[in-house]
Amino acid sequence: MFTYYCKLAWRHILQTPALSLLIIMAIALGIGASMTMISYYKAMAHNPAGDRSEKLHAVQLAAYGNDMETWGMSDGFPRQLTHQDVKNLREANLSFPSTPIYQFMTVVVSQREGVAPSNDFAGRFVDRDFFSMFDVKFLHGGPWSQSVDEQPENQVVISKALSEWIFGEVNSVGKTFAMLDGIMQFTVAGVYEDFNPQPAYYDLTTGYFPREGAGVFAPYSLVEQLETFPMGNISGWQPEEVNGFKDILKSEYVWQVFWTQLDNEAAKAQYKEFLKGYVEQQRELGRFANQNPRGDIKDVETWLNYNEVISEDNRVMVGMSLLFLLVCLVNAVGLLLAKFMRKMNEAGVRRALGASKGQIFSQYLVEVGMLGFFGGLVGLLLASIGLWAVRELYGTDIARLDFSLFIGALLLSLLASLLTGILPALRVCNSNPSIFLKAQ
Amino acid sequence: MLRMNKISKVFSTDLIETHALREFDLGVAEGEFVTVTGPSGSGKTTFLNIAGLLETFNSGEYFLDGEDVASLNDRQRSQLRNQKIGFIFQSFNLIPDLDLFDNVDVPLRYRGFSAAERKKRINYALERVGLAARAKHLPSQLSGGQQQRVAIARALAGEPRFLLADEPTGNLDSLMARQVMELLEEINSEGTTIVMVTHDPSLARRAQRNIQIIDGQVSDQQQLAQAV
Repeated sequence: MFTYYCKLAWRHILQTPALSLLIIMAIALGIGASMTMISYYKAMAHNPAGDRSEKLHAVQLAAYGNDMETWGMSDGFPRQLTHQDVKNLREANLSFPSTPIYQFMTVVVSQREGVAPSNDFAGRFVDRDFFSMFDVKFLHGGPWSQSVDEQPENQVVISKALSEWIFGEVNSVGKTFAMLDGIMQFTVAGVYEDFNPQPAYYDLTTGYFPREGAGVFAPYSLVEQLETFPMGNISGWQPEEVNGFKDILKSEYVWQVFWTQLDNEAAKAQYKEFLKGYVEQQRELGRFANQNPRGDIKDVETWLNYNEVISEDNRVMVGMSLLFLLVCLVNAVGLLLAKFMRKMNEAGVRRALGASKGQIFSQYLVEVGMLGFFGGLVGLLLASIGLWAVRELYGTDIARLDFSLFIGALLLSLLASLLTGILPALRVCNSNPSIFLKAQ
Repeated sequence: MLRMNKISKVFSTDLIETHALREFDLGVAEGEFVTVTGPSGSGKTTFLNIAGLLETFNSGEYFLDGEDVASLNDRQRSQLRNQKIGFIFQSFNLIPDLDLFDNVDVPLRYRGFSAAERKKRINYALERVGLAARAKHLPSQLSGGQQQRVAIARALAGEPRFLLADEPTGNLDSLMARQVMELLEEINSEGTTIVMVTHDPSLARRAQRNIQIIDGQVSDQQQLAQAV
């Protein structure tokens, strides 16, 4: 009977093209709007760290003076660290993998003929552990050696895209190229395939959803030597005279992040104890003079929530879009009632000829399901357009319709339309056929 | 074939109760052709709807082919209606967007016949009413008399033992009405029980028995001819 119902449904849809189109569009608009927001929300809610989420921890220090009762985020921690603290944390030589991070912009000189130098490339200073901690997959070579973290050398890890831009399609490991001022030479230690987790949880200070990942990673040990100004947020709790890069290094300005990998509870407890000692030590040196000096670690999930990667506005928008879907469905109910009322006579005839209420109900529900399916397909098209607009508006590459969202949209559309169709279908199947048989 | 004992049917609204049938008693034997007459509002159509299991009743007993229908649920009533009863309406009630073949197919679909069986029955039923050549026409392409013949073909396709006709000639001119009546008589002569509501006294007289309903009760019964 299902194919018979499908045949009848298709025939009815063709008979009332304008009304059917209105119903399809009502469902499609609701699905399009809600799927756009759900897809965007899902992309933002994604934790790209996977099973490393509970191991990787951002380190925070309440590193401000007595002038401030509290500073930074709502919990009294700034999101970033001073260079002094990062330097001290690095030199503490704990056994846990760890890395500081800060972003810089650089000029890169291509070795391909006719390609002008470009300053479009972002780089980040990191320690060697960064690559294992954040699971960077290498295409050629690998990270610089451990000794480079102590004794700086002009070695870098670059992306495949940057390697091809500089050298063309060759294995560039061991080759040198000019960057930063366009003269300084750097040797390629490794080339990675693709590394642009969304959101960019490893460094949220320069945007949550960058379209391009870093093109080049350079050893953090070069920071003091290269004197490269950071790109991104720099903030301080007190006015300080800064006349050059060296002043920033010595200042109380916060502008770097520091990650450490703590694989179990014992490691976390040990690191917290270490931070406690470190804070005490700094207080003795006259720093951290505020009322509640302390350190903290936050795992990736906590860090993403803490940085409000998904803002309250986004949640409200998802709620609003679902309400909009509800409004569209209420409209669809009205349109379906109008459509089905026209079929009361036919339903009466079918009842007289032996159809049960259940069969009439099923027949009309199949028609609603078909309308919902078409509504879902058009809704997916609208959602694709909506997500394209989101990408253009926010300059990110997230929020695309994947297979699960595609199936989810169709299921949501089917479910929504079937719920919508229950009332009109019940009205038809519960009507008294004898009235319509006589009245026709 | 049909036995109604003290059937009552009341239509209620907030303000008024209308007694459409009052302790209505009637029996129709297998193979009989019974016409039902009576003034408008007398309960003829209500009787027909209850007989065709399209309406329930408030009290009394109704046995169709020996089966007590009061205890049946909607699915069972629909099944019984589909298997044993054929309907013919005054306004034909063909589904306008289905061609003749698909119209006749409707009751067979609910019967669960195979595609081949349905096709065989549809072709036979349409041949029987002389419209096999127009199987792919829409009802709107036919005259009133032809549409009623399609409706008869639809009623016959499932080979019901009981045919209920509600003023089947009411919308037809006299020639077409006579043709339809002859077709019904032929069907009856082959053993199908027919109960026909009509306003036309001349048609009413052509049946074996005429019953008159007034105020929801059988007021008069006339034996007109011997059952076949």
